[in-house]
Amino acid sequence: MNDDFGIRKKPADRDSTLEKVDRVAEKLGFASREGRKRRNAVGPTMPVNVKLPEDTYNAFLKFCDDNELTYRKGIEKLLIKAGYIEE
Amino acid sequence: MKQVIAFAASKGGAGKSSTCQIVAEVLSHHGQVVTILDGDPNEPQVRWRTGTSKLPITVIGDITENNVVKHINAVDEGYVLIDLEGVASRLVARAIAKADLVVIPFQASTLDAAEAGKTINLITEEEEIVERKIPFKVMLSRTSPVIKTRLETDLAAQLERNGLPLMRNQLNERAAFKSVFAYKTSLYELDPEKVNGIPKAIENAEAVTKEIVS
Repeated sequence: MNDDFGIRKKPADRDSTLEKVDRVAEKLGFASREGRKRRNAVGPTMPVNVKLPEDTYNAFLKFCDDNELTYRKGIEKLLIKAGYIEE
Repeated sequence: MKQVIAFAASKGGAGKSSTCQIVAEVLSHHGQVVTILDGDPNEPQVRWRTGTSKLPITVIGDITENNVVKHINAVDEGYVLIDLEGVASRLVARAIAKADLVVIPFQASTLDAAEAGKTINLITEEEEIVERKIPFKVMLSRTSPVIKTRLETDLAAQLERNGLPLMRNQLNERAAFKSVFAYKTSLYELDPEKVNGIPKAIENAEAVTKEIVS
């Protein structure tokens, strides 16, 4: 039975010396300057605004709904399938 | 045999990248194996490596607080020089924890001296945690090769009074040191037609390097 209540255990190989160094450093103003990266960070983006025939529009929305994709991911998936970008 | 030297100062413009690059060039020119870990977000060392220098200096970029220890451990031999960013950060603290020597360059200004003091305090605290001495050397940088300012003399005297190890040699402000980044080559490969004072710069660079590694 899983009785860990979802609590993440501290990995055994964590470097405790380094953790102590981090604590002392933070006390002296040497804090982490590296923000966590957003999970969906994609780098620079460009907008695309396009008018589609209704059938194409509906088909694209259905494709995204069926595959649980955002529109951005949907376009990306189609371009991967077409071989224009690598997965 | 591996020697890890961190160049740290929590203030930009103190001369970390220049000193790191110059020391790397001198060591490599004299046959030492040199790896630079470029921890400056502007990656001056990575950009330098895209140039034409034939010196076999390995430059590793994208150094972060999460990978700096791994990169230091991955090098088997030679000198590992860590060019750190000019801010007080966890990356700096972690690099210091792994260093055999920390070089703290600073310009002869009270602001720079105060920032150097912060780094020294951090080193002192870290020594207790890692249970070993972390040797450090303080070096005046970007000084005039001919005129010694009053402030320079005063700061040197102040450091001496506090028992802090100020290096005898200083990295002077020289066109050749700026030119190695501009032309992406080494002091030993600069074109004397384009840059003045190369022999004097090499003499200065070698004296500084000798004092750092001795």
